[in-house]
Amino acid sequence: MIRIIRVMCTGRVDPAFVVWALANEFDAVLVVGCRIGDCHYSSGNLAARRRMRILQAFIKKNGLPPERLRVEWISSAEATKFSKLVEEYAGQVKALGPMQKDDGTRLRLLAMKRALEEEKVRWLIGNEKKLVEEGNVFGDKLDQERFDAAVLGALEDEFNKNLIAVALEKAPASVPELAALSGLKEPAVGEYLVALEQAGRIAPVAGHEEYARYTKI
Amino acid sequence: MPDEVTQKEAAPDPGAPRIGVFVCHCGANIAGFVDIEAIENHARALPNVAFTQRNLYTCSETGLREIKTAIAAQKLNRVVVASCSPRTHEPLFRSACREAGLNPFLFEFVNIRDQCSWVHMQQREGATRKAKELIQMGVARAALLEPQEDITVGVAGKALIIGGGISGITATMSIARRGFQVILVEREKELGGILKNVHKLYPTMGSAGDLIGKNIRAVQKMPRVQVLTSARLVEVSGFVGNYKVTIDSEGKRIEDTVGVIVVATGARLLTPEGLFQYNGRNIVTQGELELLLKQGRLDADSIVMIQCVGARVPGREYCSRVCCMTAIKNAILIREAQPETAVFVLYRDIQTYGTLYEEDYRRARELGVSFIRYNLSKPPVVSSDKVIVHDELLGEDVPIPFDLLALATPLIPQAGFDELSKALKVPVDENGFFLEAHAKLRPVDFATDGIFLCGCARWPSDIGESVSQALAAAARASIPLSQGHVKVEPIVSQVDQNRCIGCGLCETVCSYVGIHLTDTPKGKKAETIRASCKGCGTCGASCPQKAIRMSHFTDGQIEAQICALVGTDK
Ligand code: SF4
Ligand code: SF4
Repeated sequence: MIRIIRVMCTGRVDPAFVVWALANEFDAVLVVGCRIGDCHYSSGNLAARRRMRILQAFIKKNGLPPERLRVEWISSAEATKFSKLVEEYAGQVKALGPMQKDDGTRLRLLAMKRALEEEKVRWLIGNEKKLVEEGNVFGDKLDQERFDAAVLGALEDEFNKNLIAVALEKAPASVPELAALSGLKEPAVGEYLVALEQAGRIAPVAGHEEYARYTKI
Repeated sequence: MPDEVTQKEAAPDPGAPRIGVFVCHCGANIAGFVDIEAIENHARALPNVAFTQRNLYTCSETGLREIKTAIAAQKLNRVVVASCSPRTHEPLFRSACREAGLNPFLFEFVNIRDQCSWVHMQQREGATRKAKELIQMGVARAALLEPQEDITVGVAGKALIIGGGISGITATMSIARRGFQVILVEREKELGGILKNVHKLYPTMGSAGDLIGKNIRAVQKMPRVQVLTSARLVEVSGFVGNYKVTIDSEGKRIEDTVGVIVVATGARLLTPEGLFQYNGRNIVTQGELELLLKQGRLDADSIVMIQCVGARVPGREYCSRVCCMTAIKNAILIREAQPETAVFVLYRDIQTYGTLYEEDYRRARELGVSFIRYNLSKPPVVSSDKVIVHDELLGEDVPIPFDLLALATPLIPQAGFDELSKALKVPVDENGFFLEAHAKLRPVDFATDGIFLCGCARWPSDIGESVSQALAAAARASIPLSQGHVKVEPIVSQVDQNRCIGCGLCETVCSYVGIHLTDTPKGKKAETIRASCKGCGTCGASCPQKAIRMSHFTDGQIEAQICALVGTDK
């Protein structure tokens, strides 16, 4: 069965909401808006479509089935189509099985959400149309593949950083511990720690252990 | 000043949440399919819930009184109603809150009828659980709701009517008679629309030319009316009360500001290219037959009419509603004028609803018109001077020679409907007809405030129906015009200028000029134009700095709703 959350327009759907739902008891998210070209808010669904496409790629890259997010465009006059869609998708989600609920998965989902809230990522996602279709002031356009690579690269970077940040919010940890938890190499963990420390988000814990431990501020 | 926007001081903080949850039985509509008591008990145990009550019909006088009493007696500062659809009932419950002194935006709607009892009629247990959880999510959101004050916008006392057929002319005259200025825009060189080509009108058998001619002359003489022919709407921006429109009329650009817009663009008849050997000579459309009758050029001893040509077929499923009566009317006229002419109507179903129309059907049969039923799976086969029809009732093929074959083709959407739909930001249905806000409750309104529709632009309708709709649309459109101001929903974006870095992304993604960059002492910063912002939230979900807060749909409210079920047993 589905639980419905009403928003004014699919344009309101922040990718972070989708990940937040997966981190909180929902096994899948269906984003439904007006038909493309028929948006009640003119073009909100186009912005949503671009965002959700990237989000789906990001979800997949993080080892989750991309089908956990589905995006459909249906007019409010197409009730039958909507009910068929929901039935079919519910079946598909059942086949996928429930989301993993272990601490590790939740930590990763929280880091994904944070990554989607990062300025650089949002700037790139929000400017897709401009960068790919219109080009910069010099008329240089990015092709779709390069754009996708840039966004997904930025997302991964922010994800790794935030994974360390959320882990430290739970409990102080050392570089090797964080490396084990995140699957990153120790020097990479070190770099993210420096960045987080510079941003004033974490600090080393005073102590005499072999490895410095860090904690959130 | 039409574009002045006023807003009262921000409403006071309602304080720590004391939520009242009202669960509606909706007679048996809800209570008959879920365990309503269990639902109320579940709601009572939720955080911040101070009061719960079940109502037989929450929307009835009694139900609304119960809400108001509880707000006062229980000092409720948030109200959740779990009942039907916000689409139809939200305004009602909001005003009940307002009457009890509670800001209407501290009200939250949970739909446990359409979303639970109706769709899961056979699954009592599941529907009950779903209702509980939806209420739980609604309560979580309600706790974070904030009061909002209405925004009031002035209304320009002028209307724009698009389309100069009978609907548009009627609407124009009705609004002008109330004392408002009206601009009537017609695409063609002359007013009149489709009626110009019609001979007689059913059921009165009056002359269409007389009717439309009288109306054209009347509207042209009318004070306060500006008629623009060979004209089309080029651009629209703005919002209810203040639509800035650009019209191209005979090559001249005209700019104006109107308070309301009525779409009366009508429909056109399908040309049956490739169907039943249509050739425009002896095989014509019912519309072309109409012209022959009008011009007195009809000369035939045997006339066959085929109904539902290109209508009620895969790909165009709808019934065009006027074709049966048009065929019957023309058949009557022909048989009355020249009884020696044989008339055959090959039909699939006859739709002559109501008293007068059914009477005409009877009269046509009395006059000797032969009605022969065919089936879509065995359509009539047409050669140059003969139709072979498989008579459904006799079960055999009947050959009928003809001098003239008239094909009843449906009314289809006007060319260019999609451009108009985009320019006005109003929807069309899957056939391309304009879609009203609600088929029953708001039949001549668009969902967009200040834009209305009538006549065949909405759906094939005959003259009587088009005129009723035009009068209705004119009456609806006159409400904001005569009030002189409208209230705009205060669901808008709000910029935290301390976080905003002036990147301008919000302005780029907004399709309403709802937000723009302005110069401030701290450099360029985004600012909402409250009367233009529609509250869609696209800017909020895009802002890199998360500097935009969407009122009534804040990140916090939505995220609370999403995670409200954590820890609930599934
Ligand atoms: S998108 Fe955000 S940061 Fe950029 S101008 Fe708009 S409000 Fe400011
Ligand atoms: S909420 Fe929508 S309409 Fe309002 S400023 Fe943002 S994008 Fe524009």
